[in-house]
Amino acid sequence: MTDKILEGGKIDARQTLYLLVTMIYATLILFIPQNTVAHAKQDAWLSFLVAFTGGVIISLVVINLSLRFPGQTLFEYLPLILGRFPGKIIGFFYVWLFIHFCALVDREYCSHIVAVFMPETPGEVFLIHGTIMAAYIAYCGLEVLARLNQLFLPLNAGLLTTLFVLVTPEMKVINILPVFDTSLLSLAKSTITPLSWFGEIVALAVIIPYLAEQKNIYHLTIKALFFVLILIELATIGVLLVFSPTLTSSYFFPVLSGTKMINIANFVERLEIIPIVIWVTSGTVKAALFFWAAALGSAQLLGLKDYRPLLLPLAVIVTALGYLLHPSIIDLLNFLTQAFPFYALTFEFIIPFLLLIIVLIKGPGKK
Amino acid sequence: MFDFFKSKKTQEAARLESPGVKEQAWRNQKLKANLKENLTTLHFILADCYDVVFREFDFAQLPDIRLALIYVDGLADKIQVSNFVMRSLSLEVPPALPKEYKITKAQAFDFIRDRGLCIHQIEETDSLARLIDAIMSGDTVLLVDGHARAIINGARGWEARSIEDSKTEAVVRGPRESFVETMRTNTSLLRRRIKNPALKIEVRPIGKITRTDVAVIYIKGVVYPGLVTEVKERLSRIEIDAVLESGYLEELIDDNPLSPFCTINHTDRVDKVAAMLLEGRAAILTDGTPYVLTVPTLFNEIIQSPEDYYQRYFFYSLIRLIRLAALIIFLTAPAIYVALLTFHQEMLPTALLLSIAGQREAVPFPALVEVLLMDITFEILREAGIRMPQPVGQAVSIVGAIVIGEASVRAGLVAPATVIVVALTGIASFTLCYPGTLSLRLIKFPLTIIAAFTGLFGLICSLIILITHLTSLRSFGIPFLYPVMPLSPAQLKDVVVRAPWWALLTRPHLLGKENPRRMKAGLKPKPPEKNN
Repeated sequence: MTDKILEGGKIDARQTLYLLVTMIYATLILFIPQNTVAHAKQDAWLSFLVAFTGGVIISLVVINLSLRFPGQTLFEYLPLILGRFPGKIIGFFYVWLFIHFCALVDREYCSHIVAVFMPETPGEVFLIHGTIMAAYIAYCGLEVLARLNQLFLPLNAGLLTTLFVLVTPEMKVINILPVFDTSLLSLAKSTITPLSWFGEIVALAVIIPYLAEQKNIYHLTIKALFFVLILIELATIGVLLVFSPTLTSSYFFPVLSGTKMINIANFVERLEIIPIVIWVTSGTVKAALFFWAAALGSAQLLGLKDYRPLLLPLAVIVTALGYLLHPSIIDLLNFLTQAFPFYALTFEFIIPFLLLIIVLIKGPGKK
Repeated sequence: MFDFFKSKKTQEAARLESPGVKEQAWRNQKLKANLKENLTTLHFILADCYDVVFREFDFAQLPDIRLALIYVDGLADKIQVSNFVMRSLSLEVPPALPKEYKITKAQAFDFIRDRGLCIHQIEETDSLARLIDAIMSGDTVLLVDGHARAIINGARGWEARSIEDSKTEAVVRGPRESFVETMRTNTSLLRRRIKNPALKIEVRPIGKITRTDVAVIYIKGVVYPGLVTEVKERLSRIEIDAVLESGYLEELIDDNPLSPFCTINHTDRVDKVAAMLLEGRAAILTDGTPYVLTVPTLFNEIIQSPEDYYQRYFFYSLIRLIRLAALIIFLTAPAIYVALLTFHQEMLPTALLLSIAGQREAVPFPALVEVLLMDITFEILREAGIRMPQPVGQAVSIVGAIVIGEASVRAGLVAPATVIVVALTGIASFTLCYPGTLSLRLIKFPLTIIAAFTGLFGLICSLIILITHLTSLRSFGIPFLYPVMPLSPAQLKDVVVRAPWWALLTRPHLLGKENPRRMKAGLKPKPPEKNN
């Protein structure tokens, strides 16, 4: 890897597709948002469909913006659009966003493991584990990250499908009837959280310059979002069919609770390790991706030659943030469902959209 | 007896100042026209080399020309040297020659070279360094008085081990030959399998003192582009005293010197090396060892064996899967066992848990200590099995079986379940390609220890870090985990399973870029079309 371009790796179309899928579904599969089910009831699967549409729009804005500055990441073209100083300020906001995302992912699976599997172990243990893994993967670079995900994603998708199949004996169709029994307002309310998570596709603005070929990127992104949708629907519909909507919204981790229901011939049971594997692997990739984006962003904004020295301090920040941000899992879930969508969508949609408008008017970048 | 030919004076001179390995000035010298002077120089350089023979005699055609033969006793083929060099030069007139044919002193050298020697391979040189290298490699050198040149006769022949079965990679079906220590034999073994001028064998000496021949072998037009240049470039960087085994080279040309994983595989199987070459790889042959390095190396070679390609593909696909399972068991079984017993008892079915708990009731140690104890015992026995003198082998294996199997359980040191896990781990490793298992054997210990302290979660984390590390490795530019990461689904048919030959149309994509197809499509046998 040469010093000048910071990150020398290139990822091919398939790797990009897989990376984008993991980037989004990792969190969504952990918590099927409580408020989605609470508001949309048995039509929760519908809100993901709506959120998917929103995600497509966000990705179109982000890709369109990025393609106007070929070979440059978000952090490099922000100063070109807004001017040197304001551009860097917004750039640092994005670095913060990525750090925050990373801390949230870490915190999510740390809380999950503490709450469900090892209640007596201090959560910091898992936070530190998670951050070390993310930092090490980020150290190895985007290429390794993408390749790693090529092993994990098919594995996880397969495991998830297996869980779905194994839990079918417990399903009752009555649980999602009647369909379309939701008012538009509650549908909108239920969509906002998944939408903000679909919006994490904004990280594409950092990845695009490292794609080996960029001509199919629209196609690729929409395909990725669609795969996410399939995985999420698989989990959501599975859970809704097994539990009723009321029961589902009362679980912190519905997929895990669904897994606990599996018992085939008193032999295939206690498969809780499978959700752990799914979450730890996909969560690690996701955290590592944001970690990498944050490190790369800071290096580019500060004009450094290498982002790797920043990984250690960032790891400390991420661990501390993950630990300090939320006193409990209830608080975390409240934040994720109530405050997070507005905070995240600002960065995921509003700022890129405004940037795109500025570019269209002022016209830096190539058409 | 050889001292008889040396004059007292030269012997004394030599004893005083014969050059060592540090003084290499003579390597730039040329031969002189005067035989006496040349011999003095050679005596000087070769002083105290008891095995070097100097033989002076007169040329039958022109008795005033003195000839000298110099060779290393034991390396040169004495019968060839006596019969076809000395005899023809000192006794016989070439029969096809007219009686009255006379040669002058100036023609002598060319005459000897073109008509006088019955040796299949000769070479002419005027460089002293080349001459000495030739003598040291077993060639016989002929000096002719009055000519500043020498003829190198390739009449080598020394005691060597005969070609035997492969000791490290046995197969039920497939060629049995394996490489030996002599490079010439090894190249001939390869050439016999690949009868094509595109099989290139480029030799260079490495090692300032040992001057070991190292050959880079590849098939031109198949080898991965740029690979040969890269291999030669890395080999030419090496400046070392000695290369006694290919392991010396392996560590000096490795891409990942700080990784526990070795990204250069070695084998002594001829068919395996031939198959590697045909996939677009290059091989590095080292004189003096049967182990040939093959580059680039992929991780999946650990679950492949040459036999997979000779036996029926259905069963050997199953065997591949079993090896994959063995790989996972080998790496993680002790760790998972420790983690389950230490943290996750609830994950075991109740009956099994009760049974294991019953066994472990009398055991005084925690699961980790128990497993480590057995693991280390097993490693000791395994090491002893390799190192011990053959006659005592049986004693050790009996003691080993009793120690591992019976006594430790009876004494209440370990639970029978632990013995099963450790034994399974040990056996599982033998299904895999040996060189690859070494690093995994090392990694197994930290994994077990981590699992004992952090449970399955820590184990998963360590495995992720391990896989990340593997993903970041490259072997001569090819990702180590290819074709799994980066994923190339079409190539998986020769990784987790072994597709039938009529479906293995292409070489591994990244390696075989230069010449992707290896066979015609549509070769799947089918019944003949009916005419009536």
